[in-house]
Amino acid sequence: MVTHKSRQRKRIASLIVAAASVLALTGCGLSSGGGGSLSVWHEFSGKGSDAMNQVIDGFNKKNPDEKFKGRAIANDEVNTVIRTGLSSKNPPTVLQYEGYQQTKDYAGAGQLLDITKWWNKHKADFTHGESQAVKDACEYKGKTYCIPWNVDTSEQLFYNPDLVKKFGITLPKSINDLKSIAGQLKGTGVDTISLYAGDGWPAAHWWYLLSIQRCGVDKVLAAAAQDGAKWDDECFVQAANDLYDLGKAGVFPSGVAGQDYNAMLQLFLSGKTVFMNTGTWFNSTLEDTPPDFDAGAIPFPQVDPAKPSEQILGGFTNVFAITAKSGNTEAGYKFLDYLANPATESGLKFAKSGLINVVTGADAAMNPRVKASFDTISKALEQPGNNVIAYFENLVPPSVGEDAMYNGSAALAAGTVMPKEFATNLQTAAAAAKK
Amino acid sequence: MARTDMPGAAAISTGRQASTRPGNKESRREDRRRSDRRRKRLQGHSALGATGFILPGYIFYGGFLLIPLILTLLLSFTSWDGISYDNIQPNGVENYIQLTRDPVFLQALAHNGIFLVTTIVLKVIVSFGLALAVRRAFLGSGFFRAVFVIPSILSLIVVSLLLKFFLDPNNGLINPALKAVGLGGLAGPWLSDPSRALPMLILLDVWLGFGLFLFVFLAGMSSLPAEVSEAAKVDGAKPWQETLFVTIPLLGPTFRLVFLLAAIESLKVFATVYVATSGGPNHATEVLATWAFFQAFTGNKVGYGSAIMTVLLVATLILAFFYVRANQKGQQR
Repeated sequence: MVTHKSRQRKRIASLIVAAASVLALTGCGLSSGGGGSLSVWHEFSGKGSDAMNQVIDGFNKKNPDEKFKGRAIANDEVNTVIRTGLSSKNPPTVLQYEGYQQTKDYAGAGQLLDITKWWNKHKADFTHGESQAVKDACEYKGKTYCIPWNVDTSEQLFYNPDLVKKFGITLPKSINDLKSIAGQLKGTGVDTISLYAGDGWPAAHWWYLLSIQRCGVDKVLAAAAQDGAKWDDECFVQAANDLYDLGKAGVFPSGVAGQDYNAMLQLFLSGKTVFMNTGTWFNSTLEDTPPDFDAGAIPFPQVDPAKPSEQILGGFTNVFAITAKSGNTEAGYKFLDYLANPATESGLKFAKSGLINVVTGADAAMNPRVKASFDTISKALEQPGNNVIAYFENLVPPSVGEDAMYNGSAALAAGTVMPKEFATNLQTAAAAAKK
Repeated sequence: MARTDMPGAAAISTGRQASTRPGNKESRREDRRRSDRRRKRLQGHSALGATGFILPGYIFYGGFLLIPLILTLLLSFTSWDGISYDNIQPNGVENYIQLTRDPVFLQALAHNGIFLVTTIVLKVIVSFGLALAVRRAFLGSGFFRAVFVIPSILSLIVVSLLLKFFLDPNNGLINPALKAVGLGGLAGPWLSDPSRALPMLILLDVWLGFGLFLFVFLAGMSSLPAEVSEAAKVDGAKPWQETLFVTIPLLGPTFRLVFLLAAIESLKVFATVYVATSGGPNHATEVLATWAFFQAFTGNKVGYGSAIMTVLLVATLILAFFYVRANQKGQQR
């Protein structure tokens, strides 16, 4: 006969077995650890990813006892993968990420190794290694946590020369020229600018570029720090108004706030728009999947061509760091040594893929269009003062950058929010984040 | 099968014989103990076998549902950036207080409410209507049944990407198709238009989900007693009267089940919204799951994101409570 006690004992036993199995399954692994395999995680795709693989292969040939594995992370998975990876039991040895706010986040959480001593020995191997822009990208509380790798800028309009010729368009020098071109193209089935801001940042970049021209880098930095300027100051509202007016003038295609970056590239590459503003990483896309026209690039139009701004939007958006808890610090340093050494041609491989690599001598492998952008950035970095500013979302908390700036800019371009309302919302978000 | 063929029959029959055998109490007690031990061994084997089959389910349920649920609840009372476990700091009910001041959370909650009401109504109407249409065999009924269930088995990610492509106002297929059939007035920016984006996602959700509920209704209808319908016909009930006064009341438990499942689906909607619009344009399609995802993985606020998901959990539990109560009342009747 089965008694009540024996039934109870069986229930307790099965609960213990189940709980033990569950704990075993979840690994009891709340603490991050190290000592796992050597790996480098990166966001490169297409030709950039090929370049990364070549670098890893080269390192592994030279260091057969310490072979690295590469892991490419898709851009829209980066946030989730890196966060969970860094706090897991097997974080990457070397991490490529986007610097600036991410350096603050990851270093602040103790997940990056302080490489100040290494950097001080090697900064001469990098063009503009001493610049403020590198410090902004890689420093946190006076220590260096990453090395600059590729630099990008959004200070250009790519254009389709076949459409320019077909419609007799004069390449724009001012924002107002874009409105005239939109009038010229009305009814042709071709739009002026390819802009789809479903991801937020393509429209945000327009507002950043206009804000730099209207307000200057110093004022932007002050607003980002909420110290000496605010996002609802007049010049930022003016920049928002510029973007709003461009949308109202029909410069952007229909449905600007609904589709993503890939659809935006499609519009431009399929010949449905004459111009497109995006970062110099697009050169790598052009190397990867060349369209049937020879894309050109001109400087981003000015609000006032008579008083052009020399300051530029961009920065060291590809950086490499050694993670603090991988347990493979020595191998991580060896990898950085390999990257920084011009003799390994790591930088050249990236330059050939269309990216603006900053290892000394890498510019020799850049194509003319990429070299022109490199020269623009170099000129700005060499000027005294702060002339290069990172993409604004890298300067502020995510609730301000990736939420208020991104969503607000997309709504401005679509004409569904007024400039003053955009600026007020942005300032409200910034003030709340500062508390 | 003779009793003597059954496993343990000898022990059982020995026990019975022993219990009826006159005389020696001690030997009868011993026999009873022996048969009890054999029975326990047999039951122990079955219990062990049962545990062996249940254990994988336990592990899965515990590891992938129960533990994450409990951890989410605990994390909702912390402030954590999600980058290092060392940074988890308890912060009491601060996250819940912040929810009341977050306009996007309230907007997302409203969107989930709209999803809830509209998808329940649409899914029930469409799936019940189609179930009525295909419940009796006719030429092609089998084909239609198969076709209607296909959306339910498609990948949400693939379908959402296709929707996004079709609705591209410049490169997509819908606007040119509408213009080609003389409905160019309906063409528009679709997912970029705050007034159209949410309805499009609701329609997508209904399309993806109605097939399964169709089969739930068909299963319910097939279990209805035929005599009741025949009696209604004999009494002169028209088809619509039979449906309204016989079929629908008898399908009460099925309706309740469909309501509950449709409601739960609408509350936890995430993939379609995330892929198609990411909650945009400007939060016009934001739902609780996408807002929680943003807070946790972009906003560096895992604790706050967990609080949002806990609200979702509570809403789901409330629905489940009403379902169970309604079911119990139905059964008592």
